[in-house]
Amino acid sequence: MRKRNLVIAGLSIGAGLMLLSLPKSFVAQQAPAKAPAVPSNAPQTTAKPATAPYKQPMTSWGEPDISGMWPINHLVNTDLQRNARYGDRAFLTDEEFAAAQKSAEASQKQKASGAIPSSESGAAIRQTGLIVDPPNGQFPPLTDYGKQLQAKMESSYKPDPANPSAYKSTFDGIEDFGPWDRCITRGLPVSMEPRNYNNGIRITQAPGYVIITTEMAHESRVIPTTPQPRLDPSIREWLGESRGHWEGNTLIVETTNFNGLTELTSAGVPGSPRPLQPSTPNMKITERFKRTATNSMDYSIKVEDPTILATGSFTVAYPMMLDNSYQMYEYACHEGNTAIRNYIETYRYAKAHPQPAAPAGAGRGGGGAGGRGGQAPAGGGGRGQAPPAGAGQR
Amino acid sequence: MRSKLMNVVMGVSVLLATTLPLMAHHSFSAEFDGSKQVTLEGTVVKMDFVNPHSWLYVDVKKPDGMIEHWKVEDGAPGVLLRLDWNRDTLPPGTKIKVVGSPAKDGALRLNSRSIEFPNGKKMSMGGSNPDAEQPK
Repeated sequence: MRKRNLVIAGLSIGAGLMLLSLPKSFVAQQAPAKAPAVPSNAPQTTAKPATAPYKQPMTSWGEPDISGMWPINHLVNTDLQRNARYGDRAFLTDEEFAAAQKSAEASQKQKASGAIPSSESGAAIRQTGLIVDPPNGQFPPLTDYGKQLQAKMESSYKPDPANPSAYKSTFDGIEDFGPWDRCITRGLPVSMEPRNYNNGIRITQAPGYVIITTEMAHESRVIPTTPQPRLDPSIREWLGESRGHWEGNTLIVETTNFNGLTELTSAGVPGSPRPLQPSTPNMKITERFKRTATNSMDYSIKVEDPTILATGSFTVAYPMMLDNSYQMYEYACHEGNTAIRNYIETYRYAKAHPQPAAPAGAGRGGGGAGGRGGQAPAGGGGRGQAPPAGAGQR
Repeated sequence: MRSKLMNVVMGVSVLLATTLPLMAHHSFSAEFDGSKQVTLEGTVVKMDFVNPHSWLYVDVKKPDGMIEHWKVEDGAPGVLLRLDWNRDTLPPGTKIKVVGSPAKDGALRLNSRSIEFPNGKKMSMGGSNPDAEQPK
């Protein structure tokens, strides 16, 4: 598939270039730099070798041109948090990379006829995880205040208090749902993280503005790149307010004025911690976009919120890959979001028709007719939202 | 529209875990029972390509002649388009077999796994059961 080959070819370049652009603390601990293995079926590209300086194209009004479609399907096979089996290594070995690519291609073939596939994710990247800071690749522990907020969070992906391996089943009103259940937003940084469908990210530019549109859930951030006054601190938004500027050819976007109601992680992002993580209005996010070749761009997003993150911050980074053939379909999530009504009706039905308690030890798939226990989220064999130690095989 | 003999089969099956959870934008388990599998044979009434999840409406004729009106939850329109679906894939009146997980509250709702046409062709409908075995 042409799209896949472009991704694979570009990834090899992007992964190598990431070594040059990532923080020193990150670069210092990665595996010895070896030339990434390029699949034999990768097409020849016009991209120059990593050692040659990339000539950044400019817009007609003189800003670096980073416009185009940059879907992040190629990241869906990489966990947000580094799997424990990689220890302190930030990058895969050649052997692991080859195996990861093979696994991704096999998975894609399987998903091509399966449920919610669509990621066209038959590729892997060199990174062992998307979180590059803290250096251990893990989502940082929460402060006591963060834990207090977390306990109050509601979402259909909230663990069931009576059975933490399953998701909750109590939905008696709109307040029992999270902003993503309600089709409001995935928030930041989650909107810039991969999941198993709707991974399109489109960047358009106009004089003094960069617009970032995410397919999930059909949101656009309009970011001024010239000095503009910030909003009054009393004004709070779901995606905050972004202000951008160029440092050389790097676009730096700083975002504040969040409303503190979004989730810092999402169950849909593979390898995410469990349960969901809270955010606060104190959050500051800094993103960096640096095009490294015709088809690749380094991206990082740093989240700072010392009131809830024990380490004060964490950073996600990855190579973006240009694919202007990718079509972004409208995802007007709210238009048919029957889940809210159906979940409430299901809960109220179950409440009115209590079932005998499931026998002790009943596991996944053990629920009988009308059983309420829900099914356990993918754990041992899966890659979803699970503690790092539970991250499974792939 | 006319329906052929319909058959609803419900059974408990152990579903195989996939290597990648196929999570929807909200939790599957709050509404559907992934431990059960229902097979519907019926006639397409309409297909709504709506977000966040599409809905297929199927009429199923029971042995006693009564018609059941089922709603089948499917993937987002973007997902279905990438699975080679389009507006003409399921015109009203199409005879199909649908396999999926039933609603927990006994309502005539199903979360789809796959459909099968009379000629044996199978297509995924992008259902969100994270433990559903992939159609081959």
